[in-house]
Amino acid sequence: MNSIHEDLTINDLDWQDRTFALFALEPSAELRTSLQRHGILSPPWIWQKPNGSRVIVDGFKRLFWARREGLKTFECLIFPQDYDPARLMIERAAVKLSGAPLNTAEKSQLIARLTDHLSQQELLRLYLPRLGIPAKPGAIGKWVRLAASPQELLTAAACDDICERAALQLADWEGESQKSMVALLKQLRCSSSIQCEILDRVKEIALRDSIRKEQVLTDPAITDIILDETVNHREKTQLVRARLYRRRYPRVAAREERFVRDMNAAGLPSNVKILPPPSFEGATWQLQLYFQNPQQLMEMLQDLKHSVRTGQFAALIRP
Amino acid sequence: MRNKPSKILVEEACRTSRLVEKLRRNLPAAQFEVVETISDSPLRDPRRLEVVQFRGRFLKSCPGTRHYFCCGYQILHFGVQCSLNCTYCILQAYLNHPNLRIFGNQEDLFRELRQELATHRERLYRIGTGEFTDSLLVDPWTEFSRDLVPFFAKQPNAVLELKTKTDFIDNLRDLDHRGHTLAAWSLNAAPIRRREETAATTIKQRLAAAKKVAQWGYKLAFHFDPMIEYPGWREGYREVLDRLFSSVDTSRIVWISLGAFRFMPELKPIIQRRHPGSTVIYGEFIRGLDGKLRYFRDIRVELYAWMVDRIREVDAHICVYLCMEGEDIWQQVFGFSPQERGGLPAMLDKAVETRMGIAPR
Ligand code: SF4
Repeated sequence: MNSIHEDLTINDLDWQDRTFALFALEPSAELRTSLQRHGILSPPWIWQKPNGSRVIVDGFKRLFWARREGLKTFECLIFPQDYDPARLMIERAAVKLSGAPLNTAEKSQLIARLTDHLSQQELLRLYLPRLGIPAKPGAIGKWVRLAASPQELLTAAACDDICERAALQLADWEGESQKSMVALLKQLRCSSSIQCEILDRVKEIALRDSIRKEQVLTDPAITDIILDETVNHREKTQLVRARLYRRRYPRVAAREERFVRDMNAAGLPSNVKILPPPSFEGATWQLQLYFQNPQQLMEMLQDLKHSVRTGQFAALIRP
Repeated sequence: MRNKPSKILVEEACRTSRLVEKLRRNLPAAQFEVVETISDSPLRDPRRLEVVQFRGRFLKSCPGTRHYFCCGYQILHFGVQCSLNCTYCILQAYLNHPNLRIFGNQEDLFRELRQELATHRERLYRIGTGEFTDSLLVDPWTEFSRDLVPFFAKQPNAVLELKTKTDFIDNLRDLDHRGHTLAAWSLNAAPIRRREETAATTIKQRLAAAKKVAQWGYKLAFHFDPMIEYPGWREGYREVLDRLFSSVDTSRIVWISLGAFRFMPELKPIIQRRHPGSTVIYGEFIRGLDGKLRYFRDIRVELYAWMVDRIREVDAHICVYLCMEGEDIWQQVFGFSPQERGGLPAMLDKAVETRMGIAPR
């Protein structure tokens, strides 16, 4: 039996039943404007359950708007009670996939719902690519775990306060650590790559030192940065990164700082730069000279010769 | 005996090989299956041993890079993989054949070896089998050492190094080795052994085995590789060095190598997945000139210099070398560069000559 168009009253719906619900933010500005101007254009889907109740399948945002606006009735597509709910979910997924791009939280919940009705193989082959997710083994599990995450994380992921990769990682973090990290990333508003860097650093410091991740995040140095009202979110991001870097790589950071000190102390002219090997690995250093004419270059080379003879350079590049 | 294979998968081409014959004799309870070809599969089974027909070159140069000094060692490729499952093991990256695999066409291996050694009589070959697998892990059943050791005994220009983390030495007893085989053990600080090498023998067992083979006239080598920096590493490595030097006479040791932990970046997620409790990958690693992650240079220098000092206190003449390190690190640790002594391969050749009395004519 197929679906039929019908007019229903708002109060006929079972608003508590979330069988088909996906995580949703408030309607976008465009959707709100359209609803205000034209009302509900495409009819929501409703499933008449075998127990007689009527469940929203698709069109949550529209219907919540209608209820808020005090609409009494609406036109919908009713699916009869013998309609297979699995099929209904898959059809709803198809509609979702052909519409506006889904946010991270919606994607996770769609995947989680579909795992009840489809095999892993089908999901990997047919659905993940359409969601823009690489079909790697283990991917589904990660998304399902994200779908089951607390509201704070899902909301932050849905609003793009937290990027997809970071959200997936955070789904595996334990309660307090996850909460602290969500709060930190929301404050910093940094790029995806920096979010992932921060996550990695915190995780690795915690594992290395056998402490909980939130202990890394509640380090007074980090807390002070966050509470400092004199710096903006970009500066905070840089300060947090620097702090975590120093904690994760204390000796590399100390060597870098020593080099900067030595460079300053060497008092080289501003048009001469010495660059250490990346991470001080290997013995190849670079010298950069900025000059405007042969005469200037000649003079610089003379000065440099002197610096090399007097050991100034040796001091700079000593291990 | 631990690590005993119980499922033997044999390629048709190797069905009647001596190796399979020996496996059938030594593993009477094992289940044997012959197949046309063994295809790659990601399923790991530590009880499985595969016998395949190898079609490549058996002798390979140590995969050194131009950025770091290489020992110039030759690898005798007789099999791949290992069931000891050390957390840091590079072999985990070979995802498509995770199971122990031995080459059944050993006649071809010996033919190639004979030919190569005869072609360059003027050159000393230091050849080892412990690069892509543990040298002795399946030896109780393959008895490969019983062919290999006497073969090397007759080669004037070659020495064999069998490198292991096992104590499977019984086959070495009574072999006519003529001083051409070095039995070598990888050693580590006991806490690292316990955490990261859980299926390997204990340090005590390794040293007991070393002591025994030394009594059978074999020369020895030890590899502190990978050295891991952890809180208390000095005590850990001091303890193992003390145990080493109280177990064996240093005059029997031809060389000791030191290599700080380094790994391909691709190995990191594999270790995280397979050994979530391991923290070896969370040291201060930087990207080395060869693209591998390695400890920041100052840490390596500290590890090596400390070890060299302790070793020198016991035997000032023992050949200690650094595995895959550059000029600057050598200078800082030893105060010289291998280049000043003819290169690292020449230094090791010299150690063979001095401590084993072997040099090509
Ligand atoms: S013994 Fe060697 S080859 Fe075997 S798992 Fe350990 S590191 Fe890998």
